[in-house]
Order: sequence, then structure tokens, then C-alpha cells
Amino acid sequence: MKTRIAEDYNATAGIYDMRYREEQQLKIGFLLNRVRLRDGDTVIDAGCGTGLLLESVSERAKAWLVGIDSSIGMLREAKRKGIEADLVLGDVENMPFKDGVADAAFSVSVIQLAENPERAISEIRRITKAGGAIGISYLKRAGIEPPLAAGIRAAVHASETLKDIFITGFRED
Amino acid sequence: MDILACPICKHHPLDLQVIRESDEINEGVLICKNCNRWYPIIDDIPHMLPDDMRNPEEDLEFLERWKEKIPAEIAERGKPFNLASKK
Repeated sequence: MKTRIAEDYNATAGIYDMRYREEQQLKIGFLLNRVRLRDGDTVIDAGCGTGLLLESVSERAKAWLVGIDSSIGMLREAKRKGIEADLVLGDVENMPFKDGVADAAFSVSVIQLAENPERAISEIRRITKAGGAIGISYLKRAGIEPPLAAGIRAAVHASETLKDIFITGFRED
Repeated sequence: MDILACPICKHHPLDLQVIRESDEINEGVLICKNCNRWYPIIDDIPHMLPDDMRNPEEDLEFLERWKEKIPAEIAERGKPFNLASKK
């Protein structure tokens, strides 16, 4: 199932930005406006796709950017665009990062595709430092309850116009 | 990228074997000494998927192509795929 999702994204990577950039940037703005970013931060985007969030972060702070995605096609597109980020092919539910490496971790419209969204959130928490910022969105129509993992202090926001539920906050311990 | 850990057992740090490099590391292998898994680096991008999302044919092709430059214990006995299992 997850392999098929990755293949679907591989096939559409070249036209992803043309089709979704505007909508994704509104979601990204919604999250970034509610999270503090500082120069020198390590920022990880779980499900980075073509790197739209990382691009927006780079306009706000001089951060070390890391993107992980399960679609090699999307990562190649991010690389082709010249994004200054370290890119990793990987799974959001099994992230290949040490504990507590991110000053801020994000995931935009991805976890509803996970086999287990709670596990994805618990991985996002694991890779974030204590006190580090977390910003997650997922599609409303997925109909899942905000799956807040223990140890994340967060607010849940619904938007009138955007298709996602937004969770912003920080890792508690 | 010293933040990388094994996606399965979360061991850190991973051993890096460079296969071919220019400005960045273009091709290489990351090895988990704890669970003996290996992860290819292709065109600068580490491929760190869990076993069930990996492509056995592509992995074996990679091992076959670079077997001279990959430690024998990985090429022959590494997880989840290796050249010994292919024979």
C-alpha cells in the first residue's frame, strides 16, 4: 500500500508544484505563522515532497533543512529545483533519524496516508528536541481524530478555507 | 549527515562506506553495525526505507554493481537482501 502511494507520487512529481503549489503554500503559511523558527535551527519536514515547506522555511530563517519522503521522484524534483537541503528517502512511520535532533519538525498533508497516523506522530515527536516546535497538518476528509501523541503539547486548529486540520505546539519532555 | 540512524533498530551512528564521490558523496553505503542492515546512497540521496518498502531487484543490482567496494560481510550477509541469498 505505502509502496503504491510512493509510486503514484513518483509518476506525478514533475507536475506536482504546478498543480498543488498554491494550496500547499497556504497550509504551510498557516503552520509557519504559528511556530517559532530561529537561525541555526535544524528543521525536518516529514513527507517533504518537492520541498515546498523547506523553501518557505529558508525565507524565514537560516536553518539546516532536512527533508524525508518515501517517493524518490518527489525528492529528485526537489533536488532539481536546487533546494539547499539534505534529502532522505524514508518512511514517516520509521524515520531514520536520531532521537531529538530537530529544533522544529513539520509534516503537511501526509499522515492521513500512513498505515498508523499515531505512529507517524510519535516518530515526529521522537526526532524533535524537548521544547522543540512541532507543526502537523492532515486532510480533514480523512475523518481521523487529531491523533495527539503523549508528550506533545499542542493546539488543534480547523481552518474555514483550507482542507486540513492543523496541529501546532512543542514537544514537552 | 550525522543525524541519520537505522530506521529499524534506531542504532546510531551508521558506518559510511564511500563508493564514488565528487563534490558530495554521490554513491555509497550506510551500514548499521547493530542489526547488519545496509542502505544505499544513490545520487547523493540516502535510501533509508524499511524492509517492506524496499525494492529487492534494485537493491541486488546495486550490490552486484558495487560488490568490489562494499564490505564483504554486507554484500554477502547484509540485511534485508544480499548476494548470498540470490545464489
